[in-house]
Amino acid sequence: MPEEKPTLDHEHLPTKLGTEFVTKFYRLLKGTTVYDRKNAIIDRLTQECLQVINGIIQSEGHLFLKIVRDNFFFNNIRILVKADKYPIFKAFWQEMKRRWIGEVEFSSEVKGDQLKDLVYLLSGLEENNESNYLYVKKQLEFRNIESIHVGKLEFFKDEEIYIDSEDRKKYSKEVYFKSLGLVKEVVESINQQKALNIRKAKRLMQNAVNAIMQDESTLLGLANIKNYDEYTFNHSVNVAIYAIALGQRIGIPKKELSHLGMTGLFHDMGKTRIPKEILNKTGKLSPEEWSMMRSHPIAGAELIMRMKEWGELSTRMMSGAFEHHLRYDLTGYPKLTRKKKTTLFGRIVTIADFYDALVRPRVYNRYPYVSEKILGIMLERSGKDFDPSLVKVFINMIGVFPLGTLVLLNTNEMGIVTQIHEDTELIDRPKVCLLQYSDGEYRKGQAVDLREMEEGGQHFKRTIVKTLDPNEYNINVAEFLI
Amino acid sequence: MPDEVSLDKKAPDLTLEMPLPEGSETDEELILARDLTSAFIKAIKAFRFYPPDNPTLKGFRDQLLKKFQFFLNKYQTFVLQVGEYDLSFKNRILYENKDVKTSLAFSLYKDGLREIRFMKGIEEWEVQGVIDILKHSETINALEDDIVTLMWEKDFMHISYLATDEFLEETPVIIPDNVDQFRRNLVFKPLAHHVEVELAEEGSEEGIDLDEILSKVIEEPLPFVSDRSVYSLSADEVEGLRKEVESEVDPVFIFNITDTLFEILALEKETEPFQDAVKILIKVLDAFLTLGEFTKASELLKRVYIILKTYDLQDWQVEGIGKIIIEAGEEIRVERIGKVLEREEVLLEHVSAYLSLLQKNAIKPLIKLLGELKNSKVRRVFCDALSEIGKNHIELFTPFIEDRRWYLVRNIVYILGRIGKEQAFPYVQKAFNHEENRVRREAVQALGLIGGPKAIGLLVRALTDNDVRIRCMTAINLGKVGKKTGLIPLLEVVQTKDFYKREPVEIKAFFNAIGMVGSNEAVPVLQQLLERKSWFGRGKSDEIHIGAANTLAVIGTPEARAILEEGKNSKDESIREACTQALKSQSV
Repeated sequence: MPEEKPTLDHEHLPTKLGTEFVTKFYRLLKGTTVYDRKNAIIDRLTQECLQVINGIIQSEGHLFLKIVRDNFFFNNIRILVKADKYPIFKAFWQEMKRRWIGEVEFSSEVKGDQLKDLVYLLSGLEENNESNYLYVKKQLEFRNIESIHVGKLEFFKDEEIYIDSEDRKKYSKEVYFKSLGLVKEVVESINQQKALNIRKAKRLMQNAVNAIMQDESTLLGLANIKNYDEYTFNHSVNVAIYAIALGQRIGIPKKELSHLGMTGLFHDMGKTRIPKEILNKTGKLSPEEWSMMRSHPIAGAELIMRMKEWGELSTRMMSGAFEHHLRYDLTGYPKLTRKKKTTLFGRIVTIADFYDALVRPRVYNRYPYVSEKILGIMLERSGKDFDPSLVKVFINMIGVFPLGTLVLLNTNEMGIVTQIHEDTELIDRPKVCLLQYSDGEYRKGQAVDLREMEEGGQHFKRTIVKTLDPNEYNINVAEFLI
Repeated sequence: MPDEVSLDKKAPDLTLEMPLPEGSETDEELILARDLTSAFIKAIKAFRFYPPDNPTLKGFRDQLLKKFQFFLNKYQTFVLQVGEYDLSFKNRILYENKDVKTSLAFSLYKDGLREIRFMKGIEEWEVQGVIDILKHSETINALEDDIVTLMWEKDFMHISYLATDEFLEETPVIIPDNVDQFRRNLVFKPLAHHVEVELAEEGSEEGIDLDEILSKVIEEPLPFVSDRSVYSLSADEVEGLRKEVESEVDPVFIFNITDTLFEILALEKETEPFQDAVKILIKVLDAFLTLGEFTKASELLKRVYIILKTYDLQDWQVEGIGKIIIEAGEEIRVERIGKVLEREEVLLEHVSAYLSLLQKNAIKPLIKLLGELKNSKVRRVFCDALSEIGKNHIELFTPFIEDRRWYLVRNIVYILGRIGKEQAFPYVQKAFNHEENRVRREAVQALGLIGGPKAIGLLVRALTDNDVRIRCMTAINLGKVGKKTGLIPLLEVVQTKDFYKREPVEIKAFFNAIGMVGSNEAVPVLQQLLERKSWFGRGKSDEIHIGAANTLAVIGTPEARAILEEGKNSKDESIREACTQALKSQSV
C-alpha cells in the first residue's frame, strides 16, 4: 500500500524540517561569499539558521542531511521538494556538488561561532576537490567542534562529470547546436517523407535534461540565440530547453523531462506543411492564409501520429503539438468540438513557445529584444492564455531580468545579465557582465554580482535602473552567452 | 522503482561465503571479475532463451545479484570497458565475441556505450532492469531507441555508464567556438506571422500589432519586479502543481490521446491522417479492453456513434469511423473480454453497457465466448446483450441451435425468446425436441415469449411432456399467451381423472394458467371441479377445490363470484373453506 501523500495541513515532517534547514543554511552559505564574518547580515543569517538547527536537534535528536544524486535526505528520509522551493534546493545542490560535500550532520546543539566556522570553511573550499570533506573534518577537529560532521559526496554518475563550469558550458553548447542540426534533419526528413530518427532526438533531449539538471543557466543562456540558421530550428530547440527547465522546477521526473523536451522540439512540426511563402510573408495574410497558419497544430499532431507508434512519448508529443495554441481558457485554436482541459505538457509548451516567439528578432530589429515586458504581458494574460501557476514558475525561472537582458545600472554602466540567483528574494539582483566599448563595438568586461554591498553594508553597489533595447546599441546578447 | 526512497531500505544481501572460482589467474579481484562477467553473460542468455514465466530465470538473476553484491562489497565498484567485440576489466579481456549477431559487446558498442560501472548497493530491480534491456538488445527498434536511451530512462542509482554520441552524427555539426564563427551563421529574415497568430483574438483576421503592445513604455518598474507576491506560488498552487505532475506521470494518462484523436476526426478532411487516427483509436479500445476498463471503452464507442449521427460526414469518413465499431466486435477483442472476465471481478453492468454497443459482427464471437463462460451471471449478461444486438439478425444464431453443448443451445433459445420474434419459431421448435430437459424448458419459456398460433400449438403439445417442470411452465405460458386457444387444452387437462394425482405445484400451475386467461368460459368447468366430491381422501380434494376456487376468484365475473358465494355455504368443509379463502383474497 503506497504511503498517503502529505496534505497541506499535515506536511511530511522530514520535508518540512529539511526544507527549513536547507533554506536557512543555503542563505547563510551564500552570504559568506559576499559578507565577512563580522557583518551584521551574517550575524542575522547565522541566528536564523541556528534557530532552525537547534530546534530540530531538540525535537529530533539530531540533524543529518545527505545528498544522493539529485535527491536530498533528511534523517534518512527523502525530502519531497516542492515547486516553490525547487530553486533553493537546486542552487544548494550545485554549491555542495562543486565542493564534493554530500553530507552535513549536527549531532547536538551548536553555537553561532561554530556554525560560522563551518560555513566559512565550506565557502572557502576549492572546487572539484574530492578531498574537501577531509580538510573540513580536520579543521573542525582542530577547532574542537565535535557536534558537526561532514561527509563526501558519495555517488556521482559518470555522465555528470562536468563539474567544471567550462566543461559544463562546452557540453551544453554541444547539446544546443547538435539539437539545431537535428531539427533541421527532421524537417528535411519530413519534407522528403523519409523515416525519422527519433532515437537521435531522444539521445539529445536526454543530454539536454542532464545539462539542465546540472546547471540550467548555460542552456537557458543559449536559448537567447534566436536566429542561428533557420528560425524554425532555433525556436524548436529553445522551446524544448525552456520546457525542460520549467518542467524540472515543478518536479517532473527525469524520464518524463526528456519526453517534455521531445514535445517542445516537435511542437511546431506542423509548420512543415505550410508553404514557406506564407510562413515568411511580410505583408498581411489573407483569410485563407490565416486558416492555413492555424492548421499547423493539427498537422503537427498528425505528423507525430504517423512517425511514432502510440505510446507514452507519442501521446505527449501529440498533446504538445495539438494544444500549444489552444490557450488556457480554450479560446485559441483549433476550435474544439468538445471542451477539455489541456494537458500539463501542452500548457508548458504554450508558455515556452509564446515567450520564445515574442522575443525573437523582427525585420527591423536584427537582434532579439529580451525584456521584463514580455513577462509582464504573460502575467497579464495568465488565467486566460496561460496557466497562472506555471507562469509564476516560469518567471521565477527566467528571472525578472532574464538571462541576456541588456541593462543599465545606476553607475551608468551597461551590462548583460549572465546568471540569475535562485533565491527569489534576490531575483532582481542577478550577476551581470559589464560591457566595455572599444574599437567600435561592445565587448565583455568584468563580471559583477549585484548583491554586492558597498563598504559599510548599507547599500548595494550597483542596481539595475532600466532595461535597454540591444538593437539601439547593435548588440547581439547571445554572443555574450555562447 | 519505489517513489519514496529511504536510505534504510536496501535489497537483502544475498552474499554468503562464496567459494573462490578456479582460474589460472592469481589476482583475486580479476578472478572474481571474470566469474561475475560470466554470470552476467549467462543470465542475459538465459533471459533471451527461456520464456519469461520460466522459474529458472529467478535463479539466474539471484545468482547474478549475489555475485554482484559479493564483488561490490569487497571492491566498491565493477567497471567494464566496452570494446567493439569485447568486454574488459582493468585492461584484461573478460569476454570476447566477434560475431556481430550474437556478441553482447558489439551490441553495446554500436549504441555508443564505452563503459558500464556497477556500484556497491546495487539492488535487485537494477539487475533485472539491465537484464531486461540487454536481453532485448537485438530487437530494439533502432529508429526509436537504443541501449543508452533505455538505460537512461531506467535512472539506475547504482549503475552508470559512459557513452558517445559521435556515431549518431551523419554529418559533423559545427559548434561555434568564437563570436565570429557564430556571426557567420546568423540569418536575418523578414518578419513572419507566428506571433501575430498567437496573439490575435478569436475571429480576428487582422492580426495584432506587436509594436503596439511592446511599445507601451512603462516608466516605473513593472509591478511584479517590486511586488514579489505577484509571482510567488501559494500553498494551493504548489499542491496543485504537484498533483498535476502526479497525474501526468501516471501511466493511464496515455488515454488522453483519445480527445485529440476525436478532434482530428472532426476536423480532418484528408484520408490518410483520418485513417491513422482511426487506427490509433482502435488500439486505445484494445488497451481499455485489456485493462477491463469497460466504462471507458463504452464512452469511446458512444463518441463514435455520436459523430456518426451528428457530424456531416462523407461516405469514406463514415466508413472509416464505423470501422471502430466493427473492430470492437471482432473475435480478437471479444476474446480479450473473456480473459478479463476470467481473471478479475468486474462490474457486470459496465460489461453489459459495453456489449450492447456492439454490432452484428460481434454475435458469432460473443456466442463462441458464451459457450466458454463458467459464471452464470456473466452468461446472463452476454445473453441479454446478444438479444439486443441480434434482434434483427436472428439468422446468425441459428447455426448454434444444433450445437452439441446443450447449455449453449439453452442460452441460444433464451436469447431467441428474449428477441421474441416469430421468425425464431422454427429454431425454437428444434430445441423443443431436445433430449435435455433444461433445453426443452427454455424452449417452452421462449415459446411463451414469442407467442402466436404456432407457438401455442407447440405449447399445447408440451402439456403432456414427461417432465413436470416443463408441464408447469407450459401451462403458465399458455395462460399468458394462449388466450382462448390455450384455455381449452388447459381445461381438458384439469378435467382428467388423474389430474388430482399430480404434484400440488403442477395443479396450482394449471389453475393459475386458467386464471391468467381470465375467461368466463372456464367457469362451468371450475364449478364442476369445485363441487366434485373426493373419492380418495381429503388432502387431494383440497388442492382441486382450492385451485378451482382461487381461479374463480381471479376470473372474478359475477358468475364466478356467485359460485363462490354459494360455495361459502356448502356443507362440505373443504369447499366451504376454499371458497371463503378465495373470496377473502379477492377482497384484500
